[in-house]
Amino acid sequence: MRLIKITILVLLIFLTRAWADPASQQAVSKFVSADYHYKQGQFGDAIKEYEGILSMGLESGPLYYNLGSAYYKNGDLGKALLNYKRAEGFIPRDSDLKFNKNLVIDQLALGNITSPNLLERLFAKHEEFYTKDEMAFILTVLGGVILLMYLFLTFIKPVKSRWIFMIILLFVFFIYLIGFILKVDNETNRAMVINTTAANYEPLEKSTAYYQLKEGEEVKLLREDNGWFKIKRYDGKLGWVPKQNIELF
Amino acid sequence: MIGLVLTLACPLWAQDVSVVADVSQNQVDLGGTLQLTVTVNGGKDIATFDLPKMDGLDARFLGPSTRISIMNGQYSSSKAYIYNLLPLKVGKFQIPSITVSVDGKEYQTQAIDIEVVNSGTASPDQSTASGQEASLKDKIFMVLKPSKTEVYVNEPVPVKILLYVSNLSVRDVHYPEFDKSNMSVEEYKQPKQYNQVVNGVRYDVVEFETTIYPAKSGELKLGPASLECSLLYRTQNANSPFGQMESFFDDSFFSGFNYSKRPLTIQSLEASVNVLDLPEANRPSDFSGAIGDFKFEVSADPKEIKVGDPITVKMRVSGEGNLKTAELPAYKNLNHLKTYDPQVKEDGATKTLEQVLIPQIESVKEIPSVQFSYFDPATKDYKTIKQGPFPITVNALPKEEQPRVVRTIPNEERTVGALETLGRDIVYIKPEIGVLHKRGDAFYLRTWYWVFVFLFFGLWISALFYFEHNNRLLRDAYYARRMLAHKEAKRGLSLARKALEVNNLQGVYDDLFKTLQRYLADKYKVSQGEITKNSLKAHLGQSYLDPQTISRLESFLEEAEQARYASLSLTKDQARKSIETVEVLIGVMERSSK
Repeated sequence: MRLIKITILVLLIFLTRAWADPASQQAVSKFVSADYHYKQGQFGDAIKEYEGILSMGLESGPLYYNLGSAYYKNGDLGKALLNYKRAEGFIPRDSDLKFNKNLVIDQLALGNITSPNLLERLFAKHEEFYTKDEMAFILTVLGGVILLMYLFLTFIKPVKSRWIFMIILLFVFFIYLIGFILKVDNETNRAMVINTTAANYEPLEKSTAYYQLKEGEEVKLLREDNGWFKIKRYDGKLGWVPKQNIELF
Repeated sequence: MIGLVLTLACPLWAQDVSVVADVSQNQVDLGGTLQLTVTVNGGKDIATFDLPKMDGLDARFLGPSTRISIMNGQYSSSKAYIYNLLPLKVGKFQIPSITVSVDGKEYQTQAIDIEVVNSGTASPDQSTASGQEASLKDKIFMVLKPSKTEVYVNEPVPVKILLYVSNLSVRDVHYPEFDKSNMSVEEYKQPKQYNQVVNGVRYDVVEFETTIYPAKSGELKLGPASLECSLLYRTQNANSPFGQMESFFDDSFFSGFNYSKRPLTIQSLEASVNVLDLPEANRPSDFSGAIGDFKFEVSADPKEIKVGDPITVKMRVSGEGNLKTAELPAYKNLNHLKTYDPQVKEDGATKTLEQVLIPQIESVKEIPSVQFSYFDPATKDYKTIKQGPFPITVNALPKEEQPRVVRTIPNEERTVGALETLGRDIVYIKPEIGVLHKRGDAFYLRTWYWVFVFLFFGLWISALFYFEHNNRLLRDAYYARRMLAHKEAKRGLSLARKALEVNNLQGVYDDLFKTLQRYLADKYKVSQGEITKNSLKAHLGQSYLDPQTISRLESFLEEAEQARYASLSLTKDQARKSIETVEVLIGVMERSSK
C-alpha cells in the first residue's frame, strides 16, 4: 500500500514537473494574456504572444490551434492552415481542429489533393489518426508483446496454432511500422505556401514561371539557394520559390 | 470486297499534293558540294522527271527516299529525290523551277539562288570567329512574333517564338525567356515541331507559344527573347587508335561517339506592340475588365419549388479573351429572395458562377434579369448581354411542414431552418495550453528509450537461450548426456577419492575406468561398452583432441585394465597420481569440446 502511495507521488511530481519550472509558468501566463487579446479582438497582439511561447522552444496542440485561429481572424488563411496542421501533430483527433482546418481549406479553395503514391493514399487515414509519439509508443508495446508472446507460446504454454497468432501480430506491427515511416518521411522538410506565388524554373527574379502555387498548398523543401527555396509539389513537379512565400512546419 | 475496302480507304489517304525544292546551303565553296532535294508531299503516281539544265552546276542523282509520318493523328507520306550538285565555276547561279507531274497534274517548284565562292577567298573570312557566327546565324536563328501589333490594355496577345534550325544537331532546348516587365505572361503551351522551307533552305522549326497581357498603355517592347540550348558538333580525334579505320566509321551511325556539346544562347530581334487604353466613351457601369468576344448564358433550376427551397442559378461566360479580372453579376439584396455567397470557378477563357437563392414568400414570381458587359477589341466597342428575367413558381408549404416560429423580432421572422444556414466561422479557441513539449523533442529520440529497448531485447535473447537449453535437455538425450558429462565425471572422481581413503586401490581404478569410459561415451556419442583401449582411436580420431591426449588416454586405459584384472602390486601413491591424471585428462577434453 505504501509502495503504491509513493509511486503515485513520484508520478504526480513527474507529470506536474512541466508546470513547476519557470519557463512553463511564463508560457502559461503568455497563453492567458494571448487569450485576453483574442477576446478583445486584438488578433495581431494575440499572435505575438502565442509566437512568443514558440520562440521559448515550447509547443503544444492547443497553442498551435489558438495561433491558427488568431491568424484566421487576422485574415491570414495560409498561416492559419499551417498552424492548424501543426496542431494536428499533437491533437489529431480533436473535432474542433478538424472543423476549423476543413473550413480554411474550403475558403482557400484548395480542393482535394491526393498523393499519387498508392502506399501514401492507403495509409493516409491511418497516419492522420495518430501522432508520431503515439505510433512510436504503440510500436514499442506491440514489439514487446510479440517477443514475449513468442516465448510464452513456444516454451511455456506451447500452442500448435501459435504461428497464426504471430502472423496476425506481426501484420499489425508492420501496418504501424509502415505508417510510422511514412509519417516521419512525410514530415521531414514539410513546408507550406503562405502567399500564392509562382514556382520558377530557376532561382532568379526574371526566370520563367513554371506553375502556380496556391496559398495553403503543401510542398517538400529540397534545398535553399540565396533567398530561394527549391521545392517539390505533390505531383512531383520541382520549382524555385522566393523564401518569404514558404514556411517550414 | 477488297475493292470496296480500297475505295473506302482512299479518302483517308488522300492529302494535298505539294512539290518543294530545297538546298542544303545557299553559298558553297568551289570544290565543295551541296545537296538539292525535291520533295513531293502526298500523291501516288509520280512521273519521272529530269532536272533542267543548270549553268555552272553539275547535278548527280543520288536516289529517292520515302518518308511516311503520322503527326497529330494525321497520316502523311512524302518522297524526296536527292541530287548532289557540284559547282563548276565561281559566281551567282540559279536552279530554275523544276516541273514534276503528280497524279497527272503538273506542279512547279520555286527557283533557288546559289552563290559559288572561291574557296581561297572565302576561307580566311570563314576561319574567323565572326565568320563562324555569321554562318551559324544562317543555320540557327529565332524569331519573336506577336500576333497583333495594336492591342488594348489587358487584351490577350498570342506570341509565337520560332526557333529555326537547319543542318545542325541541337539538344537540351530550354524555353525562351524575355523581359516580362509591364505585362503578365502565361505558361508556354506544349511546343510544336515541323519543317518549313525559307529562301530555298529547309529548316526544322520549334514553335513556342504563349499569351501576354499588356499591363499599361503606350509602346510595349517585346524581347529580345533569348533561348539556351546545346549544339552538338563533331570533334576531330587526332589520337584515335583506329587511324585509317576512322574513315570507315565516319558515318552518322558510328560517329555518335565523336560528338561534343557546346552551350549556345540564341537571341531574337525585338518586337513592339502598341498598347491602347480602353475607351472611356460608352463604358457600361457594370464593366469589370472582360476583353474579347464572349457568350453569356444563365440558367435557374428548378423552376417550381416550395417556400424555403433552394434555386440554383448558374451563369457561364465563355469565349476568347481575358476574363481574369472580370466579375460575374452575382445577385445581391433581392426582395424576398435570400441570396448566398456565389461559388466562382475559372478555367481558361471560361468563368462559371453558381449561386443559391431561396424564395421566402410565395409571391415571388421571377428572378430578375442580369447583364454582363465586355469590350470587343475587334469592333473597338463595349457590348452588353442581358439574360432574364426568369419566371418561377413558388408554392406555399403544406401546414405540417411550416417552420415553427422560435421568436419574433420586429419586421423580421426568423425560423429554425434559417438559423442553421447562417454564415460559417471557426470554432472558438481553447482555454488550456495542454501538455507542453520541447520543440523537436520526442521520447523515441531520447537515450533512455533506446537503453530500455536494447536492455529488453538483451533479456529476451537470454530468456530465449535459457528456454531453448532446458527444452533440449528434455527432448534430446544425447545433448542431455553431453551437457551432464562433466558433472558425472566429477562425481566419479570423488567416488575414486573415497575409495583411496579406505585403501581400496582396485576400487579406485574401477571407479576411474568407469568414470572415464562414461565421460567419453557421453561426450562422443558412443555406448559405454564400446570404449576400450583398442577402439579409442576409431572413436576419437574425428574429434578435436590432439594425438598426445589420445595416446595418454590409451596408456591410462591400459594401466587401469592391468590394475583391475592383473593383480599388480598397487601403491597408494600410484593410485593418487592416476586420479590426478584422469582429472587433468577430463579437464583437457572439457576445454577442447567447447
